[in-house]
Amino acid sequence: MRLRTQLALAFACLAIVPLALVLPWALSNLRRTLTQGFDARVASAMIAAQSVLEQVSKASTVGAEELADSPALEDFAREVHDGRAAPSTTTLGERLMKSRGLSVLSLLDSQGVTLSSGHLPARLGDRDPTLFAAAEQPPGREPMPVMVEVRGDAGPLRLPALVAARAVDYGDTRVWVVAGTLLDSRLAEELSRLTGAEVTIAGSGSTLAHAGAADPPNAEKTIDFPPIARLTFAFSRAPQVSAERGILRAFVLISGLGLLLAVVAGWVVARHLTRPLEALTAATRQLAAGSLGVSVREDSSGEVGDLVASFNRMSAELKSVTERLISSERTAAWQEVARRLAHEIKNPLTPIQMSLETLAAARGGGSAEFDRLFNEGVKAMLEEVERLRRIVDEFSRFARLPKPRLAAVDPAELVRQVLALYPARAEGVRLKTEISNGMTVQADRDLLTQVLMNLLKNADEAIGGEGEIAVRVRRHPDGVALEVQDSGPGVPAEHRSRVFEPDFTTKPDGSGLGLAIASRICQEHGGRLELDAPAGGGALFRLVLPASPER
Amino acid sequence: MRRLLLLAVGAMASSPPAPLPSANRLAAQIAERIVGQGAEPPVAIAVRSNSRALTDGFATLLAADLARAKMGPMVLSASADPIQAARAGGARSLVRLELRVENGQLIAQGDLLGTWVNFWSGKASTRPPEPAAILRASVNADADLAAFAAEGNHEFRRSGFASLPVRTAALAAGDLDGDGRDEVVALTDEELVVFAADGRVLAKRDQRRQAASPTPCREPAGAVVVLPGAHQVAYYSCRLGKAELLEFEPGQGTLKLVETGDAAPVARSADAVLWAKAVPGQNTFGPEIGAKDQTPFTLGGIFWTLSSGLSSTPPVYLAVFPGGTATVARGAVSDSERWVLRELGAGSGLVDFDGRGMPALVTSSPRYRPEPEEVRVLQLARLPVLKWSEVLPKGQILQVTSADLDGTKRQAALLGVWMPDGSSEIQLMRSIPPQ
Amino acid sequence: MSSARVSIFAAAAAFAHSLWVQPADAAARAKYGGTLRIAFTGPEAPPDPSLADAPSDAAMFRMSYEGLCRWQRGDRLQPVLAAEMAQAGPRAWRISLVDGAKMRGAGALTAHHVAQSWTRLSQQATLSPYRALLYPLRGEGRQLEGSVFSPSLLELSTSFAWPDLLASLCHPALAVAVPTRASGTPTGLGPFVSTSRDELLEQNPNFPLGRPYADRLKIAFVNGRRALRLLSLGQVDIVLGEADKTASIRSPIALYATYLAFKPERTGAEFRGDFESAVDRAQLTQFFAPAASVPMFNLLPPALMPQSATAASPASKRRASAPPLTLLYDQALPEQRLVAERIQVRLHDLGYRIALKPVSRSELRNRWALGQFDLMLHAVLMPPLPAPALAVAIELAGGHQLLASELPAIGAEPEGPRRELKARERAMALAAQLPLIPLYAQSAVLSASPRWYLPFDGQGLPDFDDAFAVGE
Repeated sequence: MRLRTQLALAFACLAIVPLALVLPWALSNLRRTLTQGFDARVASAMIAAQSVLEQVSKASTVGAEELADSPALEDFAREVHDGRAAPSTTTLGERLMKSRGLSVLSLLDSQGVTLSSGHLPARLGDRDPTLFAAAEQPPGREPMPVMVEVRGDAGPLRLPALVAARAVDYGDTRVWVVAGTLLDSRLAEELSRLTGAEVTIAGSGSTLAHAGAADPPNAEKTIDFPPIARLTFAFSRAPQVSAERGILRAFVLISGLGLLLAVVAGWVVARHLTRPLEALTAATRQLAAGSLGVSVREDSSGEVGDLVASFNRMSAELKSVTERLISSERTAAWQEVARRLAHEIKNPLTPIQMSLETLAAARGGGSAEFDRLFNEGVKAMLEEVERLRRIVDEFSRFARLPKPRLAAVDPAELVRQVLALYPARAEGVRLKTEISNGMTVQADRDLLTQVLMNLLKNADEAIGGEGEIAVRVRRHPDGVALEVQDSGPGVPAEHRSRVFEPDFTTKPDGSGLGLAIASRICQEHGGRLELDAPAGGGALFRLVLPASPER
Repeated sequence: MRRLLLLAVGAMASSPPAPLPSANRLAAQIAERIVGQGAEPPVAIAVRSNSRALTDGFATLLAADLARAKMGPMVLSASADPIQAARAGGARSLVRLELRVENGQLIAQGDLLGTWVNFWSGKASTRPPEPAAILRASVNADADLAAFAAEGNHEFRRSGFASLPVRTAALAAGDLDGDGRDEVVALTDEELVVFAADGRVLAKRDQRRQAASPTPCREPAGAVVVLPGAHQVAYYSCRLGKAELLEFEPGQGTLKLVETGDAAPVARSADAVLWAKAVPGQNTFGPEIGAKDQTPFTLGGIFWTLSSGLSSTPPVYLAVFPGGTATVARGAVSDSERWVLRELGAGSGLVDFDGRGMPALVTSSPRYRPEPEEVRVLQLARLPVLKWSEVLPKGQILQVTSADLDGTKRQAALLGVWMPDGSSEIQLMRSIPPQ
Repeated sequence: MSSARVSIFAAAAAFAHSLWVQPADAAARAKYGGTLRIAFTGPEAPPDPSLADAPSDAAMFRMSYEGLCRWQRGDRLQPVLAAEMAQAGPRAWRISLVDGAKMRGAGALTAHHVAQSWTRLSQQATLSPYRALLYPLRGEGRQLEGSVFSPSLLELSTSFAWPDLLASLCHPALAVAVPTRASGTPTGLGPFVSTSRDELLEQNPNFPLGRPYADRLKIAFVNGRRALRLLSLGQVDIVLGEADKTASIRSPIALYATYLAFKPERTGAEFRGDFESAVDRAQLTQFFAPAASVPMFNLLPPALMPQSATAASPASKRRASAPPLTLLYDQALPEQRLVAERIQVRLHDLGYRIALKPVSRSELRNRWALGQFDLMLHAVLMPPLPAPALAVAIELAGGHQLLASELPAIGAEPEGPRRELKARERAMALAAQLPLIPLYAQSAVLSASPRWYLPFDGQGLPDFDDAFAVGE
């Protein structure tokens, strides 16, 4: 991983770690606090609701008592006793009910027949067994939850109520006062307003009243009035949840922001640090690739600046040293070549000299075999001259060896091209290719082509028109290997080390320069040419070239 | 209350009761019955009979007996409604008795009823069940009693005179044809009819074709006055909204229009006709009256009827105002001795029954459309004394006028009575001298 | 207990009757003058005389809207805007109008105005059950221009003999009401005329019967209890519509009949039987109907025919599935709400689901005219004779087609008592087939201070023009 990235990540980590440590702790703290607050609120709301319901209960009892003691009821009882029924009794119940703030009021006679009803005036004259049962209950179990029928749009509705009953006597006539409060939507609304919860009053399997709204998730509490009604309070946790979520979101946002800042800062700092280093790295690579005199032009201070300066110095020195070396190598190479040439040329000169001396001797002696000797001698001298010319040709070719112009070459494609260019093979020559793709070498295309052609020609000659030639392109620990293997006789072991010398040849008309040139070319490429004797016989020439550095 | 006491005292002062054991006995018996029924004091006593003296005397005796029994008696005036008067006086029981002498028996019969009113019940006439009893007692009448009872006992007899198909608007009498006997002129919404003293129709004038006034009258109303000596009759009809002066031609039995006007002739004075302006659309006139070419005189307000008793000297005038109050003026209209009466009926008039120059006041019941109607004859005084009252079987009296039908100066009363079926009768009421 | 209640009711009725003959003291003749202060306890008066059914409303309207005649007690016809009403032939009638009667905003009264007032009862927009009163006329009273002989003469001809025609014409719904250009309310002719102040009505000096005794009427619109309080304090003289225990006057003529109209195709055929078994009429009338109500068992109110209570029907079974029904009632009448609720509750026990819906009176009439209702409490002021009342009842029940077959048979009886008998018989016979359930009948309820004398006419309405102040 690159230094820059590493540094940036390091910064980021530096920023994240404290946040990451803080967040869960803070979040759990928050959750606990919110939950505590919620529970406290729920508890206090339920207390308030209980107190309202107690008030309602008490209102029923107090209402019944107060009505029973009131003069209005006394007059009414007297009227009932005397058998006088005023038409105003129809609305009497309603008036008394409203004036005392109750929502249920029934005046019943001793048989349970309704004498006046406030919540359902239309029931006057009918028996009301439910409320009569409530009336006959002994006091002390009050107020009683009962279902009462009240006015509704499509007929009487049954709603739960808390009622209390008292008796008013006049002579031998008894009038029951049954008063109470409905557990209806008004109460539900009041409770909902008070507690902030969604209040549902349910009875006999159906919802009778409903007020308020609480978004889920909810926490529920119930208050029962068995057997008729149940009040359910649903407190919404949604605010708490949304608070939590909000804070979490804020945290995440802040963390993200911080992270971003850290990353950006890290990047900037890293860049500041690594730029000269990268320049150095690039220059080093260039240097390694062969370009000399690379210098890094970076302004940096401190240790990095020293480093850069050292590098530049080193590069300059390397350059001068390399130039000196090359020139001395060149001189050495010329010296070597001259020596070789001299040697090569001296060889054929000797037979020529001998022949001439012989001829000279023959002529002088008027030998009968002069003609013969003359012909032989001319032949031999011509051969030597030819040899000389060949040597010169090869040496000049060798000398004219251009400096390879390196470029990126795909060895696989080059090999295929060479194979395509190679003249048609004779029958009986099997060509096998194992070419791996995806490699690149820095090479001079023409020179490599020449080398491959030379190797193929040699292989061809080696198998003599019958056999197998294998051409391979494959990866090699030192780079890329191009191999040409033939199934010929091979090269004997004692000769293996000398094949690449310029004057070695086993071929009758070879100059022995081909492989040397090929080897030279390989060396110029920074690679080498090797000869191996594979297990199955034959010769394996391997051309190893350094791989082009990966971009 | 004070008035009633005064009446009682006055009655005692005017006719001291003779010691008539029968009356005493009867009073004692009745008193005993009353006490025995458990009547609650104070007890009011209302006695009626044909004789004023007998009424007053018996009432006194009964009051004395009840007072002894600690019943707190009070005697009511005969003209008032006894129940109302009893309540107004604070009585808790009321005794209503009628006395008569029949076949040698002095008979008292009537009833006893409780009149106590619960304060809280307001005006509802609650009548507690006790006491309520019928009282009847009779004793043999002494010979003196009959005489006593008969003294001052004027009887009045009513009889029919004429009937008309519609209701009378006004009634008047006067000598139209100069024969010394009064003719009777009746005005209705349809016609004006002149009757002879015996009830024959002498002349009619048809009003039906005349256009009604733009302010119609709710009831038939108007005023008629006969101008004697001139053979003329002047009338005002509320329906027509105008007055006409007609000349009566006795031979031909026709009434000829002389002139029209808009002032109503309301009464006769000694020498002239008194005119007043009619309130359009109503049955009232005034408040100014006056003879032609004389300064008008303002009465107390608009009035229903103005009746004059010209046989007395100085002449007496009676003006009845809406509501039943009336003013009696003795003397010339503009300068006279006056007093106020109350509770007069719609049909009221001054009639000199006995020709002695002291007209009596004949009036109907003070109630609106009373059932039954009652005609009362009162002695005209500051405190009028009821001399006679009679209940009519049907009808209501709306007009009363005096007529001398037989030329004897003893006038009879002519009553315009509206019948329930929309017709009317003119009834005659004469006084029968005591036997 | 209920028999005691009935007897008490009877006693109250007798007591009220005794107040009927209200003797006035100390006034030998009606006195002109005074301001009659009236407190009206009903809600806002309806916009048209033909909608003024309730006796209080009808009484209010009669102050300024009169018809051709009034039906007085004793079965007597008193012409008011007509000068003369006479039968000119077996099916011909001649009515001449008074001269010079002027209506505010519409000029002099003409026969055209009369025809116009009557024909609007038959128009779709203002359809009224009282058009049955005009049914005997040729063309069913829809087109009366042909009857206008001259501006002051109406020549009416009937399709069949109908001796009670003139009595029918005295009904308050047939009062002359002529629309004016100026305002929405129609104008009419009455003993009083409206003034610039809404609450004050001045006496009309040109009223054909003669100006009323009172100079003016001062009307206040207050609720019942306050009105009674004002009465006891002496600040008003008459309270229209509310009965006080001590000062109430009730006309003994209870002609304001309330019915429950139903649509058999919506309620089912057994609705009548269910209703009879569920609702006790006597109890309904005693406790839920307003004061001065009498139970009505037959098609005609008790004032017009002796009532025969139907035999107690056997208790109906609870219906398993009843369609949801709506009961319409008049929102202006507070007692109808109690009655409607009682019916709702009692029928609920038998399984009916009835929703209550108060509507305005004109809307109620409209729905009746279109037949768009399930159940409706419908109250009408019946005419005071059985034959026209039967016509109105049949019309109310939606049996307009039946009039053609029923009325001629009744009108064929020339004698009054026999005709009444026939009308009653037909009422009994038709009761079962007309979708109309009679409930109760009311009379006008007033409380009056004894300072004023107020008579009632034969329709059971007070005659305010005959009211006068009694002595001090």
